[in-house]
Amino acid sequence: MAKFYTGRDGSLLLDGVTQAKVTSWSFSSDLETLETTTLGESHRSYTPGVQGASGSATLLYYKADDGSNDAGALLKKLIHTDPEGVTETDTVVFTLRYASGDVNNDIKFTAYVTAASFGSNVGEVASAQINFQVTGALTEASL
Amino acid sequence: MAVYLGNAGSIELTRKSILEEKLSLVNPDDVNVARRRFSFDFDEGAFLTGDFIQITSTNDALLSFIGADGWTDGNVHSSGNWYIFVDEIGGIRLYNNFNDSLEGSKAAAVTLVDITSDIPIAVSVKDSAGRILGSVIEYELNTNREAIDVTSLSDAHRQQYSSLITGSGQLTAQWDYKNVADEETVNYLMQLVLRTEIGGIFGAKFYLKSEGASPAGGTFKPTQLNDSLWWEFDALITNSATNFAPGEIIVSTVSFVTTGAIRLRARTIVSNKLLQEDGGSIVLEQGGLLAIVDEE
Repeated sequence: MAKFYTGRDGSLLLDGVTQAKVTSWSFSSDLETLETTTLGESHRSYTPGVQGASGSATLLYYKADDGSNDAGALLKKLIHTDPEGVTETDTVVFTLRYASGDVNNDIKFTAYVTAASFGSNVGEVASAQINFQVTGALTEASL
Repeated sequence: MAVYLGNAGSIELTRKSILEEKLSLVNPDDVNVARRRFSFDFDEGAFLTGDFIQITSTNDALLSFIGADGWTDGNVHSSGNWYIFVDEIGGIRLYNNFNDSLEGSKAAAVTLVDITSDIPIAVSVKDSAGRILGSVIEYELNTNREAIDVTSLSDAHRQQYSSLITGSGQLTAQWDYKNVADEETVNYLMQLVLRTEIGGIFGAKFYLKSEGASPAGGTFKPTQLNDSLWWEFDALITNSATNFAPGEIIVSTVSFVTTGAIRLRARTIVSNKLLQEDGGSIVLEQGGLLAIVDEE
């Protein structure tokens, strides 16, 4: 059955747990291309280099009934008091999902949170913006 | 259910200022004892006739240029409150009541006394008693609550979160510039929009039903006659316009935005006046009578 996907079908999971009050996520993948054009050729040619991916997400800074705060948990990946700073153990496993009934179209990967920001503005709901950088290959890409 | 007409409404204004006080200096030459007027430096329009002001010396010196009849106990102090009349060249006369200040006569003004040295003063507009705005034709008040979209991914329906409340409105009144006793004219509001130095704020009560107003029809209990309901808020004038057309009454329209809380109040219990031992009323310094409300 034909179907358009909207934000209603989207969700963001952190370590397999659906995050509450996510208002947006974005994901982009890129590939470095290494030029192999040689003299005498009339068209440029390339060979694939290293692939990478990054993205961002916005979450409302929201405390659930059980006291959990998904936005806060993500912010803590970068806003913390650990003297060691960010280490290799500070990766997170994201799943960006478009669901269609029982069928999930997922992009799953391990990433570092590379930027985290939030603030307080008059007349606005507090929200947190995070950027992430994928490390390693995607573990799932069921688009 | 009863049916009410717009006649049941009215507007009550309170002169006030929440902004900073005006610092100035009273020089000996500023005091004209014979004319009972004095002056100090202030921008034109900063203080308006009928304002209830507080004058305080900033070095704790006595306000010795104000005569004994300007003080309730007859003794000169370093701070006091008066109603003022401001003439066309910025001269000020002090009065002990609002109605006299509107008239501006020398006879009713507080006497002044010559001084020999400068007195530094701070002047601010104090809250005065509420007065009915005369000749109002119509008014409207809009209250608006901002809604913030907090819809999240996976939600099927938009979710909104209530945020700040703002208010605005406008009133139209037949133009007049001369106050009658205990009433304000729309000209005061037109002056207020031009007052820049200490702000153009006013307190207002917009009555939906005034005390004594009965409905035009429907069912109504006699005990409801003395009920009154009103919006209460502070507001800033944002625009005033006066319309002139041949053969038509001059009307002024004043637009405003509210600042701070907007409250919809109701008084359904008759208030009693607290009296002195001799049966006389207790008159508040800012005008009006001291009242108490019985809890039934």
